[in-house]
Amino acid sequence: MSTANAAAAPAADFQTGRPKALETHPFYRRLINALFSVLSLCIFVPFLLVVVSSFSSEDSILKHGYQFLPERWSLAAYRLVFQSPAILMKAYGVTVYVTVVGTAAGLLLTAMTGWVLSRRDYKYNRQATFYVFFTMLFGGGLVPFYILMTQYLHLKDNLLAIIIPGLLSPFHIMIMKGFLAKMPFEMIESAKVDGSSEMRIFFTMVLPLSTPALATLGLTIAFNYWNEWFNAMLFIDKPNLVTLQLLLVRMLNTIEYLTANTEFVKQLNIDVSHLPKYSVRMAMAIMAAGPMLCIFPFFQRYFVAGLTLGSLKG
Amino acid sequence: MKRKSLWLAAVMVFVLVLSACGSNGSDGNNGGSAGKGGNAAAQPEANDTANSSANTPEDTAPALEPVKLKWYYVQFGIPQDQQAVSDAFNAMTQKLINTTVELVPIDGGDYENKLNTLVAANDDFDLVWTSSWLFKYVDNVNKGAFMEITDEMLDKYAPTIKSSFSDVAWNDVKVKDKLYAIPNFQTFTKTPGFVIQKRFVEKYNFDVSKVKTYADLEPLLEQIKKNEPGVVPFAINKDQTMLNEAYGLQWLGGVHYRLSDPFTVIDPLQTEEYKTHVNLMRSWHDKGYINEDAATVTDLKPLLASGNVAVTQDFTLAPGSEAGRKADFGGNDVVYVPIAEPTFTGVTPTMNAINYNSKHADRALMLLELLNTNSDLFNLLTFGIEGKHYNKVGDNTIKIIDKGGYANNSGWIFGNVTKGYLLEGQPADTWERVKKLNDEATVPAISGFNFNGEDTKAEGANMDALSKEYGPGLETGTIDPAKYLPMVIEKMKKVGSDTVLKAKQKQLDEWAAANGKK
Amino acid sequence: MKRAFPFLRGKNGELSLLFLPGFLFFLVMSYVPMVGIVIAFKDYNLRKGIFGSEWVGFDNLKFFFISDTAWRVTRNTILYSLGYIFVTLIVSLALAILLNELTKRWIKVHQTIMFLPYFLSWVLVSYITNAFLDHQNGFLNAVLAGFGLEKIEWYFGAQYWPFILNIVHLWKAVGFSVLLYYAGIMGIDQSYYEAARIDGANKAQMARSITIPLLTPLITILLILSIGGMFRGDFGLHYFIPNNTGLIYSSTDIIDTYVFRALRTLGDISMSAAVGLFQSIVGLVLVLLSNLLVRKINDENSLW
Repeated sequence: MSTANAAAAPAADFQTGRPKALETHPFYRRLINALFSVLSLCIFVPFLLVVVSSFSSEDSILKHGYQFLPERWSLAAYRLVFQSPAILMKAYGVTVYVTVVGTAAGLLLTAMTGWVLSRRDYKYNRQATFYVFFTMLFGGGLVPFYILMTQYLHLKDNLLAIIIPGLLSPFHIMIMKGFLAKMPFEMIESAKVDGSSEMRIFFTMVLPLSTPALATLGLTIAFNYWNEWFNAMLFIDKPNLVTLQLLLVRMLNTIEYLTANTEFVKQLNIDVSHLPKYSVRMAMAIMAAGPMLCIFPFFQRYFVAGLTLGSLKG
Repeated sequence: MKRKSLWLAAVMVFVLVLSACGSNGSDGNNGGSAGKGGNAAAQPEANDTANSSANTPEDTAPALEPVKLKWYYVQFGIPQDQQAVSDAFNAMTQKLINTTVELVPIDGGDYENKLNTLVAANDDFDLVWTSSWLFKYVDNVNKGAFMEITDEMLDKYAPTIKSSFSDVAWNDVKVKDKLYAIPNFQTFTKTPGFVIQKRFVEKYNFDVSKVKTYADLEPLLEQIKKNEPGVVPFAINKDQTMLNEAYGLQWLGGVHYRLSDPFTVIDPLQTEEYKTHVNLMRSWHDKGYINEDAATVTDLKPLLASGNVAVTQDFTLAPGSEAGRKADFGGNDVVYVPIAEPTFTGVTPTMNAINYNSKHADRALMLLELLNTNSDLFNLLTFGIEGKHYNKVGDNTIKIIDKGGYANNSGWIFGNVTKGYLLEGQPADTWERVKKLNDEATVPAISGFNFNGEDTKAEGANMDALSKEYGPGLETGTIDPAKYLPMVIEKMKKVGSDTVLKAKQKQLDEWAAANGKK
Repeated sequence: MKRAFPFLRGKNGELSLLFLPGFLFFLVMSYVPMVGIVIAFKDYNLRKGIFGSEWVGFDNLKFFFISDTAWRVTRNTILYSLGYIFVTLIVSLALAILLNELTKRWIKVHQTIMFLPYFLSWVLVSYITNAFLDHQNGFLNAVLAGFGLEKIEWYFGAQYWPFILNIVHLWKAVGFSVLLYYAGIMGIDQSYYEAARIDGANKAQMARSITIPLLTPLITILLILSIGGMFRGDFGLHYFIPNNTGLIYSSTDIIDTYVFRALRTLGDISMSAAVGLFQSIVGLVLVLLSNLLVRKINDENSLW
């Protein structure tokens, strides 16, 4: 970690990419690291509980509740989840597809819109910003939205019904605007003098330089698509076009309805034996959140790369 | 400046044009059924006469014109092999009544949210499953979502269905004397009472025949608490409200009343009986008889399955089903202790309704009639395809193949369950027993009455919120009734519980008068 | 096209072209459905459609205001929103600045861990909190019992929940906020810091006079946005985490959860539309006010 920084004095500390002169005293660095380690532990521990619970046997949980060291380990929960893999695999496929397409398109559109709004020299800046922002506060509600999507755009049972609504969000646009506002204006000016159009400037200069912003927002947009279930519930009837999170939410709602109406469940003889138990719920949770969790460390790399590039240039 | 306002104007015009198109669109739908409200019933009649006049010369030959129907219904877990069953189903319906049916199962977890939106947005479908507890029937009737089914329509298209239900049953489905859904025939009785693990009954020589109310359980609970560590004497969850019959009360059609005086609506919270009950629950809670998390837990099944619960309550003690409950209680035998005679519950737990703007109400009714008469069709939709989804083990008995891909056994959604196969292990005369029990069950005095809460919905919404907030705590003894009961009654009064009570009484009086005070 | 619409020529024209997809998106997805706002003032009847239904003015809000719960849930909504905004701001900003001091490898590790809770939906988080707070089996009570202390009935005590909800909210939100601020810090030119060092400033002074001021545009935008949403609560957080327990509604219930429960059974669109509109209008007023305030202080940082 913080090894022999004391003696040598190179121009930049290879570990932090910062000029040596700005380096923190190793003592403080270790102190801060300790603080973060404690915090990270606190944050991580609940997570651990979910993972461990998914590997516990059902009656351990029933008898002793959630424990970090369950009385009995078991793979039964995962076996149950995987026994009908077809549904799960299809949901994975759909979710990945929606996430990839949605994030790519949404990120581009967000960057374009955010860029325009960040230009103080744009004649219609104030109006455009208000136009976008107003939609964050006011909405027509569920029914008009549903009517629009099904009766005018004819998007029932179509994956576009999940992708399109999530492409742009005023919140993301505003964040992008905040980041891009820091683009050095002189750079733009000189490019214009050279005769570039705004389009060219955007695609050849702005996009490459805003990697941290793109990475951050890309991640958020991807995350929103990955967790999307509401539009899927409304517009998708075909069982092989459902998303992963929708399966989870359905399961929980079903449990709630059936347990609140046991009277009718008994009378109608509804078979509730296949409702997932505690350990299975945890297993499904891991399956649903898992992929995103694995992707993030890879995103990290782009992040750090973009950063060093930026600082070297500066 | 001028340019800016030009833009603005352009946007506004655009929006206005689109919204005008929108209103034309939706009015177009309504316009088809002759505009607002009341003529909805007239329209299908016109269709009917058109169709039937074309068909009267030939009634058996499939000279019916081809029709496509769409049917939304609930499933708790969408079957994997739905497509195969749908195809086979359509092959049959095509042959029988020249109809293709788009079967759209919707998962139970989504059902209410999704269908509420579909209905509000005037979505295009013909049949929809409804009930008194999920996607509530009366609320939807009040919203105008369902088409009225007239007596003539029943006579013409669904005569068997008509005759399989008694007048009492039909009255139960009627709202303001009009019929808006077709019930599915199955068990219509409920028997409230307690469920006790057999081994405790035997160990402590507890005389279950003497149990008529909660207090009668106390001696047993005391013994369990004293001698059986680790066993919960009495377990309930936050949604299990008090068994009304234990105190001579009853709840039906949205109103509470005393069995001794069924035509007077009472506010259960203000009764002496309720006070007695919550005080009893409180003392049981303090003595440790009730499971600690009763007020917060929704799912009691895991606790019951651990085998460590002595007594719990139940609304539907179906005679003869004790054996099947063993697994629920961790493999221990149980004893049913009913505290009232089997009562007719009404037929509203499972029904199918017709969308008010469906263009093929006649054909929809014909389809339902088929599912009530044609066993092959009913069994196909309920159990799937023989050999693939189930195996026959007897004349009329089958065994469902567990991972076959169509194992939901939800005949209660589609039609008359007595037309279907029996499951392995069920006695051969099960359907006869069900019919007998239905016929012999006590019919509550106000059976058929349904309170219409439309005019008091603001008060109702708030009262509902209050019950959810304090109900579980009071009825599980978790909060002190001496302090909270008066407070809750006070709050309820403030949001209008008296207004609602008066409205209920008024409606009941009117109904009783109109029906000769049965 | 440039000749037909003279105001599209040049820089502004090209920028407007870049803005066009966004413009169309919001037009179709947000502004067209906005005609549905009238539902808030009507008694929506599905047979009559949006425009045929009867006008009832402000009657739909009646149910909300006759209950004395209205005051309670509004108070909760506002207080919680303020709490979340400021707790997250202060903690995340502090952590982002501190994080900057570590080596690349540790930054990566800590950031990843801090971000993990962000990926869980509130339903899943409720399982976790339940595992900690459950009266009989919960981890916290087990620890208390281990120390010989009495178990606390968390789900029955309204006084614990402002803290519980703030902690849980922070746990879930800190990763993303720290990332945002950290990315912002990355964009600050190193030469500022070098110059300050030459002048003899220490780290704390640098943070105060360089980092925070240069991050102000970002912070301001996020603040204004959050204030606009103040009348809306995080539904998932307030519905799932308290496990929908009635006894603690006095301190966990917000406008959204109250309306949801009250109207779920009724499925009444008009009433929920009315409350939604009420929330939107208050939000708009708050945003306009705060934007005005910011504009007075520093024109550059305001939203428009």
